[in-house]
Order: sequence, then structure tokens, then C-alpha cells
Amino acid sequence: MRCRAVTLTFGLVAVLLLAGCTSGLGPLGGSERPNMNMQQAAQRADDILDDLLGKIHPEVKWTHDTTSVGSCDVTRRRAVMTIVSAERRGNFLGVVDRSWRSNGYRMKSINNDPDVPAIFAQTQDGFGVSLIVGGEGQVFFEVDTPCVEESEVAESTTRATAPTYEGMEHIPRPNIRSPFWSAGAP
Amino acid sequence: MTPTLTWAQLRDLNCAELEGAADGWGKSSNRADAARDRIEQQLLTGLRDTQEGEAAQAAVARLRQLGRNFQYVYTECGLLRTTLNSLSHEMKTQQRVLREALDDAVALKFTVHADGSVTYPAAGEGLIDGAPLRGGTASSTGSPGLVPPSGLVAPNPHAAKAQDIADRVTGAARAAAEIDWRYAGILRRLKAEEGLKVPDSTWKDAAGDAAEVRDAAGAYLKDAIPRDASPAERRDWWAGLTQEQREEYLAVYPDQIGNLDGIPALVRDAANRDNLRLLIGELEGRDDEKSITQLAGLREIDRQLGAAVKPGEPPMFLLGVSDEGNGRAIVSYGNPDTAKNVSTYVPGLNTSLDEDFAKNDLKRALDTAKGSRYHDPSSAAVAWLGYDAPQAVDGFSSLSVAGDGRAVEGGKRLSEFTAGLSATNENEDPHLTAIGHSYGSRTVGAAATQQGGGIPGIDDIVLVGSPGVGVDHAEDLGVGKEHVFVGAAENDVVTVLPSKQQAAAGAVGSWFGPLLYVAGDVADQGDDDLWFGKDPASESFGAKRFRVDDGPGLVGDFGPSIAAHSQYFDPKRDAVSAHNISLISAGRSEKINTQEYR
Repeated sequence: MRCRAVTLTFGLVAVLLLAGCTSGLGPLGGSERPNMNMQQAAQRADDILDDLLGKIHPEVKWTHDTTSVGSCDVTRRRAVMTIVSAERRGNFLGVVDRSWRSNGYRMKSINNDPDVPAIFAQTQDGFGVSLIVGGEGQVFFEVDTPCVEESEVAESTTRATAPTYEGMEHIPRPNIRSPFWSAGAP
Repeated sequence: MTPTLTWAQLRDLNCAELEGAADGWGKSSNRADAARDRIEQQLLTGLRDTQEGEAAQAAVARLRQLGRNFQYVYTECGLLRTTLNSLSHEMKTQQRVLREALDDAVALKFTVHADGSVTYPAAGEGLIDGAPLRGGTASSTGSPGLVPPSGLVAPNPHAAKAQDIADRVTGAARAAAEIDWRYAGILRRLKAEEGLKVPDSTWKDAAGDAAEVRDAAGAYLKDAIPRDASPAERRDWWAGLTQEQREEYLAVYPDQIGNLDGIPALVRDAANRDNLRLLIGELEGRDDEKSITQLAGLREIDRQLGAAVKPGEPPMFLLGVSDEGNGRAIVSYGNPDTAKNVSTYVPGLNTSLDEDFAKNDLKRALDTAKGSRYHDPSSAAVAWLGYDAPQAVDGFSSLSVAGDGRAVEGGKRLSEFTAGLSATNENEDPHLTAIGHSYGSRTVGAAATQQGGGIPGIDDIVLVGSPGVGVDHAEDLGVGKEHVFVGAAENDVVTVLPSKQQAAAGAVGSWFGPLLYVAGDVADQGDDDLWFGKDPASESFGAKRFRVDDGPGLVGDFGPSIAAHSQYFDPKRDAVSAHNISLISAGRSEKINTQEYR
């Protein structure tokens, strides 16, 4: 975190505090900071992803994608390897949208472009949850953790349901057919 | 004093043997490089992917050390090679001088003796008797000129020529002896510590070795690096070198080649991985705050470079590193020479080469690379710390953030860098994006207006958390206003910094004047002038505004917060903004979500 805490108090004088902040403390002084470290936050992110993929029926196959790690936050990613046809795309988004709302997630924003729609939400404990449709209709899920205490971050222990593409710089575009989700795809 | 070396020894010296030895060291160097590559690319990756537990971890640590050792062998062998080639080059120069002198002696029928003296025959005629003047011996060992020829005696016409030849023969032998002595010293110092460990202190020595070889080899490996040329000309210069020349430049000038715009990314990366080791070695022993801070940043970059690459992860390229100014580090996720889309993220206020940059700014670039690759796999993203950004420790408004100087200087560097990107990119029509964050957007603005036609190669410009960019209209940035995108959160204090005039009017003390004014400005919306000119998010600026999260308010839901200022790329806090930046970087800007003009 490059963070400085700034406090403006209104009254006779405005008092300004610029303080260098050395630890992974949240900018608001930690009052909203979940009491966990980055590994625990990554674990929570994995649980969120497990939950959201588990609620998609019929199931889609997915693989782990890059984890990016900052000094106080983690971004977990998963790529869907099942072909979701343009015809079924709206259906898919609807399933996800309903499941997130029923979990009590706050819906923050959507991109309603027909080719590359996206949904952005936030869990009650401050984790960002995103669905992004990329090239060739591939669906990606991301979970962003809040700023928490710094720690090492291990790989997810959840087993992917599609191949893991060891040694490959690029995860391929979706290549697994599903009678339901791939309906109408070439 | 220098040891003696006879001219006969110089004449008979076989420089081809020296060059043969140089080639041998060159091959060793290349083999060490290949071995390191194999360890890092295959063995380590294989081990980490398939094995777990303490034994595996220990093996990984040992292999990493072995890889480092090979890197050291590569560096030192490369230096030895250039030293020997340079020695041969200088000796050949003296051999040539000697050869010409000896040839002259033969032509004149003089005799050159083992001690370098030259005997010449009788010639000319005496003034008195007209008889040929006696021959004699000229020598360079004495003190020539101390015994001037008598005006009464006409000199033998050969005498002066013989003296000249003697001087050249002896001079060449002396110069060769001096060269021999000098290089013997360098070669003696090019040695490693005993044992298998290559600690940082040894790397520090390696930095000194490179500097010494560089000084010595100046005549041989001419410093012909075209610093003043354009990046495209530098690319052509590099392409025109032989493989051997390239290897020698990499061994002797890694810091120059690694940081030179126009050199291919793979070459820069290889050079800078060496520079990184050398820099860590250099900074390791220092205890000033700047060195300690930079060292932590460099170690973190080194750690990431050495980490196993996971599936789907764009590989890292170290395109620049140095301890100049506040430190320099340029990292690309994905190969910027092969990717069609390349974005360059220019960080701003308070950024310097430290652990924070190495963790959080690099994460932003990695996130942008990943986000862009969702849409187009042929994408790379660069974090460009190629200039001295203003530091807030100086105080917020005295704050050089309020000055243009850093942006003007940084703008020049940025233009060089992007010109280099377009020079070395292998795609016919690469799509380049410049992303300016905070003061970095002012730097982007400076780059765009310094020469006609905008920033070299740049097609799209993204401005986030901008305090103004130095122009009042998006079309002044040289890419067409439909290619200028602005993200701004409502609560971001920097984007609502008041203009200089307002600050002057509202300031109580100059140190916190502008911020004080912010407090007043919250209630007084609707003004679109910022510190560096027009608010880029205003309608009159004419850019496309894209959606970003508002960020947490400071006091409850009221007031601007510095916290909102650094969350633009971070999906953890603002995936929406990161998504839009990724779409623009991937060349799909028509798909972004826009936000109301404020």
C-alpha cells in the first residue's frame, strides 16, 4: 500500500495529517479491515469462487488462472473452459446474477455490452467479485480481497475441473462442449 | 617499473592465440548462460510443479543458488573474453608499429639489434674531405637530443632515420610491456572467491570488474553505443552487430544496453537481469536510507523474476533497472515486442523504486496484462518507472506535484521509451496505450505535447486520478479526442485539487493551502479548472470519461479522501475501472462503460 492517512476536521481550523503508513494497514486506520492475513483472504476468495461455480447448473468446467499478489491484497482468477454460446450467454449471466443477489452481494456495476458483458459485485465482507466475458465468449471470474495483513500466499487447493495447462503462457479459449451451455455454438 | 619485453618477443607474439583463448572464455560464458537458463526454465519449473515438502524446497533453493553461480560464471567469463580480445587488439597495434619500423630498417639496410639500437652504414660526404661519413648506431635507450650534432660536422643523413626507427622499435616494445603489465593486473583481479557460494559481496566485485574492463577495453570495444540516435536507429545498429560483438557489449556494457530504448526486449531483459544482480551487490553494503529502500525494491523484483511461472501467467521482462535518481524499474508482463497490444503505465505522486512499487505497481501492470488478455491474448502491460516522480514527503503543496519540471523531463523519457516499443515491436501495426496515473498523467500530457504528433507510437491515452495534464483539450494530446479516456472518482482529492489561482486566494499557509481549499471546494462544485489546467473529466476537456468506483469517503460519506487516489487499477477495490482500462489497452475501447461528465 502506498498509503497516507488524511484527516480533515472541520471547525475553526482544518487540521491536516499526512502520515506515512508502513504496514498493510487500511487507509482508514483499520477500522474496516477484516482481521485476517493475505493467505486467509486468498482462502476466503477461493471459497467465494467455489461457491459461485458450484451454484451454476448444469456445471461448467473451469481452470485456475493467474493469482496476482500485492503488498496487502490478492486477486484470484478462474477461467471457464466450457463453451458458453452467444445464445446461452444471457442465461448464464442470469444464473450468476441471481446467485450473487441471493448471497446478499451488493451489485456495483454492469457492462451490458452483448459481446463482452461484465458484472461487478461486492460481498458483505468487502471482497470484490467480478464476472467478465472476454474474447470468443470466454467467461472469467475474479475475486479481489480487501487490504489485509501481509503474508505469503499459497496456491488454491481447490481442484480444477478442466485441465490446468501446465507450462502454458496462454490458457486456451473454451474447448469443452456442454449440451446446454454450448447450444448453438459453432 | 614495468617489466621489460624485447621487440623480438613482441614481433613473435601470436595474438591469434590470445583471441583463441578469448573465444574459449566466450564459449564458457555462453555455456554458463545456457546452463542457468536450463536450471531456471526446466529443472526449477519441473521441481516446483511436481514436488512438495522440505526436501523439494531445499533442492529448489540449492538449484537457485546454482543458477546464480552460473550467472556469475557467465558474467565473469564474458569479461575475461573481452579483456583478452582487448589485450590482443592493443598488442596488435604495437606489433604494427614495430613491423613498420622493422620494414623501414630493412629498406634502408639498417640493422636492428636485440636491444633496440639501430646501426646504419656510412653515407653522405664530409664537409672537409668529401669522404662518406662514418656509419654509427642510434639508440633510444639513452637520452636522445642531449648531444646535439655539432654545427661543424654534417651529420650522416642516415643518423636521423636510424634514430627514428630506434625510437619506434623501443617505443613499441615499451608500450607492449606496459599493456602486458596492465592486463596482467586486470586478469589477476578477475577472480572469484573460493568455494561454491557467490555472495552479494562477490557481485559487488563483479560490478567493479565490469567497470575496469570497460575502461581498459575502450580502444578495442569502442563505445560506439548510439546514445544520441533515435530508438529506430539504435535497433538497426544492434541488428548490424555480429553475434560476438553483441555478446561483448552485453558483458561489458550491460547497464547501457539494458536501459537503451530501441534494443529488443529479450536482450534488454537478459542484460537487466545481470544489472539487477550487480546493483543488488553494489547496494548491499550501503547503509543510507535510499540504498536500503531501493535494495528492498530490487530484491522483491528479483524474487518475482525467479518465481515459477504459473499457467496463464504473462512472463516478466525487465526492460530497465538502475539506481539513478529515485530509482528506475521498467517491467513488462508479456513480451512487448511480440504482443500486438502494449500498454505503458506511468505511475505518479510518491512513486519511487521501493518495495511498494515492486509489489503494488507491478501488480497493477500484471492485472492490466491479464485483463487485456481476456479480450486479446496478444497483449502486454508495462509498469514504467523511468523518471523521478514527485515525492509527497516534501510536503503536499510545496510538493513538486505542483511543478512541471519532473513531468517535462519524464515526458522526454517516456517518448523515447514508446518510440523504442514501436521500433522493436514485430507487429505490422501495434496498438500502444499510455496510462497516466496521478502526476503520471501530467507526464503523459508533457510527452504528448513535446514534439508534433503526440507520443511516438501511442494510439490511446488513459488518464486516471489526474490533477490536470497541461492542456485544456483532449484533442491537444495528439491521438484524437475519441482516443483519450479519463477515469476519476468523485472522492479523489487529487482530481479536485483547485487551480493555482484559487490556491493562492484560499491559502492560509502555503504548505497546506491547496488541501485547505479542497475543504472549501467540496461545497463549491462546478468549477472545472485543476492544478495543471482543465479538469480532464470535465465536459469541456472533451475526453471520454469511464466509470470508476467512487472510493470510500473520508468522513462518513462526506469529503475527499487520499485513499481513493490509488485504487484505480486495483480490482480488489475497483474492478470496474481496471476492466475499462483493460478493454482500452486491448484495443476494444468501444466497449467501455462510460460515466456521466461531472
